[in-house]
Amino acid sequence: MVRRYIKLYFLLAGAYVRSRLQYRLSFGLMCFGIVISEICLLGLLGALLAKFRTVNGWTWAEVVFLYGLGNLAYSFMRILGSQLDDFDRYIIRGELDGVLIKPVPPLFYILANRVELIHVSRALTSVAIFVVAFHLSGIRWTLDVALFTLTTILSGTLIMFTLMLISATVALWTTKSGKLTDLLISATKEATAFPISIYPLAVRLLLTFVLPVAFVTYYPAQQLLQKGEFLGMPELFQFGAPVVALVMLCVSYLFWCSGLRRYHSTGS
Amino acid sequence: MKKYLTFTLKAFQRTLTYRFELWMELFINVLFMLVYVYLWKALYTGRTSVEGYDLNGILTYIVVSQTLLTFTFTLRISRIIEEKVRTGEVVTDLMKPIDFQLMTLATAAGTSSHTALFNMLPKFLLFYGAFGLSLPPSPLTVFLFFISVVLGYIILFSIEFIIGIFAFWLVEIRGLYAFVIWGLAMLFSGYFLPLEFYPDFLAKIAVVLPFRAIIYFPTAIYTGQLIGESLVTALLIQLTWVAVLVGIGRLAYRAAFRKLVIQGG
Amino acid sequence: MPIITVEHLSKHFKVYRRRTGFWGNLSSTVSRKHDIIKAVDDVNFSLERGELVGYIGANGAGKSTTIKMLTGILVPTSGHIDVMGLTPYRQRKENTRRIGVVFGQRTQLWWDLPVIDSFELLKHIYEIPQNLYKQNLEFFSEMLQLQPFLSTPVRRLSLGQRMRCDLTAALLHNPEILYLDEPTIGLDVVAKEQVRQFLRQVNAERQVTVILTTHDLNDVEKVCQRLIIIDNGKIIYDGGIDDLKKRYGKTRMLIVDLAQAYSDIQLEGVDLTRRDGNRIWLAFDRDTISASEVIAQLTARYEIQDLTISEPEIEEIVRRIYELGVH
Ligand SMILES: Nc1ncnc2c1ncn2[C@@H]1O[C@H](COP(=O)(O)OP(=O)(O)OP(=O)(O)O)[C@@H](O)[C@H]1O
Ligand SMILES: [Mg+2]
Repeated sequence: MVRRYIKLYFLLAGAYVRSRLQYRLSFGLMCFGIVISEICLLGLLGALLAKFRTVNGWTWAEVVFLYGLGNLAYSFMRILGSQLDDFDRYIIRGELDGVLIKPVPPLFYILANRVELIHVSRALTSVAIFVVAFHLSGIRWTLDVALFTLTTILSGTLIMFTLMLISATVALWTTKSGKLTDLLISATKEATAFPISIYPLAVRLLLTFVLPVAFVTYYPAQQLLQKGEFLGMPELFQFGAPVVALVMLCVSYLFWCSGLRRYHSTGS
Repeated sequence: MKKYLTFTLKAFQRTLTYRFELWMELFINVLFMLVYVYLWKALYTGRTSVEGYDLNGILTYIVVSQTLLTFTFTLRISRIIEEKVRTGEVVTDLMKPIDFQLMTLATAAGTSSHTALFNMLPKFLLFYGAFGLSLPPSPLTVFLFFISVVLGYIILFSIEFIIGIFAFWLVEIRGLYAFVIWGLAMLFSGYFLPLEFYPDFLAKIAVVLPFRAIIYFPTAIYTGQLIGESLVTALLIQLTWVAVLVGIGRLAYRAAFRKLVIQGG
Repeated sequence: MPIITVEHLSKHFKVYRRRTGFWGNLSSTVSRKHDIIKAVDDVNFSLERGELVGYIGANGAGKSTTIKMLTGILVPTSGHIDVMGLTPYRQRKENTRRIGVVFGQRTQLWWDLPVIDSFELLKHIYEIPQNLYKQNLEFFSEMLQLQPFLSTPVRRLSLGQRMRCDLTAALLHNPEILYLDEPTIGLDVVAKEQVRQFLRQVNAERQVTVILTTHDLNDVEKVCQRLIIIDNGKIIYDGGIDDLKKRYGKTRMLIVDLAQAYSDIQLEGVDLTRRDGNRIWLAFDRDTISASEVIAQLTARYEIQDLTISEPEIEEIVRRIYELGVH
């Protein structure tokens, strides 16, 4: 059963990659564009940090570390969940009907149908940035640290993915979500690139409990960088990412199911 | 002229139908801007002035530029043209006895004036009130600021239009779009920080590209960074880019039209 | 034991009213009102295995909505559907394995990939055993002459070619029921004929139950044994095509070319339905007046050059039913 789905996933993803490769030039340009914009953004951030040295007591390297961590989760999520950023297409063009007459779970089918290898270029850039930042922040590699980092990245990817899924699901009610999902996810990613201590309480609460992206970067970074800035939150939060990811996964999946039920009854 | 205004009005009304999207968009935009405003507040603790911007100046810059950036986020003209080319709808557009470029601009203006009214304006007022931002130095600057915004908008539009027209040859333009808009335009328009903060070599590249005319010029006019002669120069540079890019757009779409007629698409 | 049973099936949609005008539009951003549309309204029918049924009705009559409920895409507002012992929307996955669906307006194939790749993918999605897949692919590509374009990307196929591929795609997994929503839309005469022939053959040789919606009544006449007409969500006719002709096709048409354009034409028991210069169309009911009586009346009063009698076409019957309802 599981084997079947894994195989199917790769077959469908492969089909998508093959169709994309029909437009080689566009594919290449897009990869190039993403890498360029990643490097440029980092360049700007660098220019900024070079001028100001620290952000709320966080050093240059530490901020880049945060940025890299968030970006890593973001780019992995983009590879896997790209289909969700213009999910409203499925409703507007009636493609969801085509999905619903297939003997596979709709969400699985939709995700597998578009695995965006373009974002591998972003992921590679992010990995490079992260490795350098990791090194510069003076963290020493041990097995514990490696495991913790991997868990963090995995949980971060899931958290971002669930936000994306929730936002995409909204289209099942509103028909059109357009750039909302894209916007939301970029906004939250941007928000996690900096220590959340710079924000007022309301925003910090928002990023912790409502759009819990603080668990993608800030709280785990407390553990990795040994900063000890919990801003009045429990210290346990530094290990909270996997739990939050699981909870969000359940919440977003339930939300998706109820969206689908609504589609089943309204057909639009 | 009247028929173009009809397109504008239609597009404006069409956007009005998606109310949930409207509110959510505003909410997310506000979140976006909060990130930057607080980032700069944190950066400025213990400093009074950097590169000629004091805290109030830089916050004003960030809020105005982020507000103007909304146009870039919401325009999506190239994607619309791409879609029209793919579905063949563009043929009916091109056969209409109207100017395709102007019609597209009119439609875009409808969507964008909606954005300006229901997204940008409230967002700006909110931040203006909450953070005690400053107004432009004089009523004349306000006027020139709006002129500059419009010119910047037309430049942004023309760039997207040209990218869209590429769809006639490339079929798929997401790559080109990502490269130009998310790459070049984001980097060189000065939305993230004023061009004065840029490292030398980046600043030099920015000067020869049209992107700073989209956001940096109007914003710097607003904040009073560009005054007198430099302000006039900025407007002239914008005008030049408008002429050049609109011209290229026309040539491109003529060529596309010819291709369509000769090769059937 | 019917393969499909539909009882008291209804589907109501809430449609939000858009206020017109600028301020109306603006106020809809804050609050909206809605109407209820009864797309399908208390529909009953049942199909036996191996039937080939035409499901027709005017635009917006509720055909696609019915198909969507039968395929498990839509949940009914009320009523009961039984398809092969399953409730489609509850047992969606089991149901989809045993049905094939073609939406004429949209292809289910992978747009940028060669046709054969789509088939391969479907093989995995439906878990079709390799030998069955090969056998079916051979069968269909021979029958529909797919060979020449099996390796062409779908986006480059003509509409007719694409429809043939879509039909194959819907049948590769040996479904017991085939739903077709406007399979002949946009096809030329030859391609339509090919699709019809194919459907008849698939139905006869593989005992596939077929339901098809269409606006081309030739499809129905040439393919289906049975016809269901839906109008405004309600079924207004369910029965054989010959029956329909017998019951509603009593009206015959006499087309007359007069020698001159008479300004006033008076005839008893006859409807003047159309007139174009010297030519007039007269409709009459064969139960109340015979053709010879009409002609006698005509020749007595006017000078005639030519005349033809036409028996009612299915098209004409259905047009009258759409316009006037059943009576
Ligand atoms: N998702 C929906 N939401 C609201 N109303 C709908 C929806 N789908 C269909 N309708 C309405 O229900 C009615 C029946 O539509 P349906 O698509 O079933 O008609 P149809 O018989 O297939 O017509 P056509 O021949 O034009 O395809 C129409 O009035 C349509 O506007
Ligand atoms: Mg229909």
